[in-house]
Amino acid sequence: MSKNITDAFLKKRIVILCIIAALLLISGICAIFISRELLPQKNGAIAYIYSDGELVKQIDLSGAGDLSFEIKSPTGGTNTVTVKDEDICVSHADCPNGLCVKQGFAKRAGVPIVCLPNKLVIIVKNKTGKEADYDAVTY
Amino acid sequence: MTQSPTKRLAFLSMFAALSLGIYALESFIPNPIPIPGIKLGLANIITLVVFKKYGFRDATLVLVVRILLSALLFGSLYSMLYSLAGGALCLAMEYAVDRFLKGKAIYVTGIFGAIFHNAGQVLVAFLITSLPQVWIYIPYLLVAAIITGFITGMAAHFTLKLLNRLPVFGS
Repeated sequence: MSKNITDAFLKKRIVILCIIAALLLISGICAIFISRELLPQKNGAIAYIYSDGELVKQIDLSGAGDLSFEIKSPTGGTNTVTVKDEDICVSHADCPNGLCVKQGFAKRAGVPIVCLPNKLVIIVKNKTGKEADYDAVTY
Repeated sequence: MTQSPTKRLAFLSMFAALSLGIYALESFIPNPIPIPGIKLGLANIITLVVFKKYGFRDATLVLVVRILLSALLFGSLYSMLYSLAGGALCLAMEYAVDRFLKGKAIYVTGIFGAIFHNAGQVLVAFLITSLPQVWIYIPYLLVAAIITGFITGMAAHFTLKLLNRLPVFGS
């Protein structure tokens, strides 16, 4: 008898945790879709390049044309940043995992390009002033 | 649970080696999603199995051995910090959820462990880089953790089931 009661009790607990997990999953998926919806438009985007938390470069992607330059990190690492077709990517990096290179172009990836070892962040924002970006939430 | 100390030591060493091997093998799997920190977390299967079979203390031991060795062999100080924070939060959460569920439904334990593992990693990423931008990864890591946590939790469930059938492993 008491075993049945604890079984029902446990089942309730499992269901509660499953519901919490499901809600987290749904909210996570929603957050991803919302942040993708708010992606910078093709025209008039500005790329902000941060090294070690400080803004080191600001590029108007629509007016910059194609260019490539290196960003040195305070820890000694180097990332090569390339601007092409009004989009921006890290084309080469000396960090161990190279995830920032694999992330590809910032607009296509949908999230800022981040190189954790070299403390480099590239964010693309709309030119229109209002931050059509998740940054509005995080700051 | 009443294995002899020698047997216990042998099994725990074997599990530590196994999780190190799985951890190393997993790093060879190319990451399909280019977001730092997203991976299957297969080594967590071993942590869960040890935790369920031998308890919290031995699971901590195996986890710490795995993290220290993997950092020495193929990682750096930074990767060790990420692993330690993630592993500690993961195991603590798994302990809490397992107590809450009285040992039932390992996959739920796995899910919440994985969520807290990734939370720990984002936290360390923020502390190391002090870049608020890393918070943007939270929804991605959250969704990934729930999926991979469920997979590893189920894997641990079936691993335990099979292991307990082995006469040499049983109590």
